[in-house]
Amino acid sequence: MSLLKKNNSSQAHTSRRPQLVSWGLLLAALGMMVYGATRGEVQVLFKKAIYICMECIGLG
Amino acid sequence: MAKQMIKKNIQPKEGFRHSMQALWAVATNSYAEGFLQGKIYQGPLKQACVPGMNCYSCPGARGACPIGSLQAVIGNYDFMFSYYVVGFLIFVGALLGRFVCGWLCPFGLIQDLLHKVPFFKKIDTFKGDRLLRKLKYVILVVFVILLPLFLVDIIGEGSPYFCKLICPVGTLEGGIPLALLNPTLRGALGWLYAWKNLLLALTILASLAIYRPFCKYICPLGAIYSLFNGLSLYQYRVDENACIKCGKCRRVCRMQVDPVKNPHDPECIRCGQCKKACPTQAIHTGFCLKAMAKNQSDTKADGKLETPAVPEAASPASLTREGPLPPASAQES
Repeated sequence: MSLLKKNNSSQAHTSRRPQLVSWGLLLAALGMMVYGATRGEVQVLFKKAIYICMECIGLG
Repeated sequence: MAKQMIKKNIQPKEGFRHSMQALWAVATNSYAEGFLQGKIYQGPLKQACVPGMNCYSCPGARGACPIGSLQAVIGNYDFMFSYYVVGFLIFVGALLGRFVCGWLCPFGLIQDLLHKVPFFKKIDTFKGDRLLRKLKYVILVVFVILLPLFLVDIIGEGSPYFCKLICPVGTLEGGIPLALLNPTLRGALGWLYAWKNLLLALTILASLAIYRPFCKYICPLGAIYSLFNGLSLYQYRVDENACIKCGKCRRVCRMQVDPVKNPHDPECIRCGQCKKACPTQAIHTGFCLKAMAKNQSDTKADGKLETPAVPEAASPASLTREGPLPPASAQES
């Protein structure tokens, strides 16, 4: 029984680590998006998206 | 043909998933005025990326394609790296992994539907399939990142080379509708348009024979999300206590993933077919799943293990082989 408990706790620890990584990535990603938006990247993206992309549709 | 019918019969129904895919495709391409007047949406929603492959030059597109956006910002001489788009991709990847591919990508839906069309030869796998799956990473690095960064014009601006030279999504969603609706654009068609349509035709043909060939071999967005399958909050897990090693999950998987060996396989698009096919409901999906420790879930009060009852569906001999299963190619012959 104690061995089972030990296995369970090590498995729980193993499952917690990837979740911590996931949450860390999510937070870092949000930070990156905010930083990118503040430095003006959204305007570049928006300007590209609202005009027909000639390369995308095959007109060069 | 008989083998194809047998193969088709073991696939669980996918109506719900296709409905979700269609709903999302319509929602993200809902600018009907674009289709009526041969123009594209220019509203504020285009500042946001959609999670799947959806060309922003589609007349109906409400959001921006993440791969097109990434190239646009990388190719801009002021930036050369996009925190906004890369942050968005990491956010979606860390949340969902390749769930986007299975449920939220319009071009994935198109390939799914094309593969349902009867064809004289359906190919599960072939020699070189595994190696060819690495091609999408090469395309990501070379065409999406390096070329827009270094192959620049006289003012230092790079072009979206993946969109320009490879992407069939832009041709299908943007090029063809706009060429049909807009006479001015129709007059400007040239060799590049012919090349892109050739690639689109090859993709469509390949989709009839092979399941999701663009996703397996070409898509740089799938390449990015695949890196997150092991790290995303949304996870697949196999309960080893309930699994009877029948191999049905591996047989129904059209991405040639073995969920029992690796539920976080980078090729898994999280369509859920394996979960539906499992006779003992051993495959679990969800957010923040706890690890399924062996012998964890079925311990009686006295400490003795209780093996789960095997449902009737698992009793036929073909589902209860002992030992390793033969490779899929041998099973097809």
